[in-house]
Amino acid sequence: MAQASDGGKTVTLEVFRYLPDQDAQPRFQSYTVPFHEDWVVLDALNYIKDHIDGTLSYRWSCRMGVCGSCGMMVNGQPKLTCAAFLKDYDGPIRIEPLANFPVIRDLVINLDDFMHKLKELKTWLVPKAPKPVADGEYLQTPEELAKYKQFSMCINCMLCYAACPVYGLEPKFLGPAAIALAHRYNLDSRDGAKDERNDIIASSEGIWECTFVGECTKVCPKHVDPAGAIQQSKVANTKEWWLSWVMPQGRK
Amino acid sequence: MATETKSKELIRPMPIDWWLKNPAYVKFMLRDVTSVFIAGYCIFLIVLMSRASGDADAFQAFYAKLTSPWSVVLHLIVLAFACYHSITFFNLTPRVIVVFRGDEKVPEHLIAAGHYAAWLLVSLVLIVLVLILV
Repeated sequence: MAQASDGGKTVTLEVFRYLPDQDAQPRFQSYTVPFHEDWVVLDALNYIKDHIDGTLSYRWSCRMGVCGSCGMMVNGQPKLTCAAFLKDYDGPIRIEPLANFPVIRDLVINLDDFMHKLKELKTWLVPKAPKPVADGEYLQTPEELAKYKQFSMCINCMLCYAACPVYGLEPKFLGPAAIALAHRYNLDSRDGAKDERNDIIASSEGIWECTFVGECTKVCPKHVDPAGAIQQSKVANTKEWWLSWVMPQGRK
Repeated sequence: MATETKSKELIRPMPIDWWLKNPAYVKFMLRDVTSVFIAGYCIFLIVLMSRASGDADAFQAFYAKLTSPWSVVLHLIVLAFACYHSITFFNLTPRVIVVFRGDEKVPEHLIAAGHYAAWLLVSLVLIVLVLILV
């Protein structure tokens, strides 16, 4: 990787630092890195770690927008740092840990809450009619796939949680990604756990906490539209509720 | 995880003016506050109807006050908020009402357009009714 910058230009990063065993309060540390046309914020962070300050801690992995590890606040906006190009920013760039999550150290956040919610909502396929592997695949038509495909694109990057003011104000809220993923499996023709998921989704900390601010969808790097998933979930759950009054028995 | 001890995690609470930090949040709060204006106007309409079915002279005096410049300005403000309410509502409907034709979604603008068309139709019917009855 070339050290010399494009045209001798440099860019300043103001990076949030927090060392729990040393700092009572967080602080910002300024780093000057060479500017390159094709560099993203992650490249700059890696340059800092490799050449300036090895004590900086942050998460990253694929560097191509599919793993969801490198989510941080870039100038106050939740972004994947592997997708935030230095050339798109003027002046010093402020890097902070993803909003609405506890900070373990520097730019590393604690995402136990999100992981717990994914487990709670059983965000995996629970086959309606399980069969042994030897019996072959679960078949699905393109029409059945289309119903949930968009919501399956979630990479669990949690930018939506950082953008959601409801989650910021009420951490018990299930949140955009978890609900969108639950909805993805509810819509999957092969799945049979819709009722179990809906018991949790339709609870007080589920879909009804959402006020459709819509920022989650705006920041989603994979165009999942979690806000849409939540509203569609509201419609689906309301329909189920009405039907449970009209036909209390035999709703399977 | 190697160790049970948890170093001091930093909690960053949301500031009281969180909704001023982001233009999208401001627009959202404005959208939410339109409900206050809509509810207020509903109460006004109920009062108007009850006064209209009461003493004729008292109603004339009340109606005259409604034509004052202040009242007109207030009505225009309420109209602006009501329009913002309806437009933001209709523009969001394609995200809520998803219709599939095979494996293709019905285009979003058609869903929204359907709502605008219904709004226009209901408004025209109401205008005609008012013109006939008043």
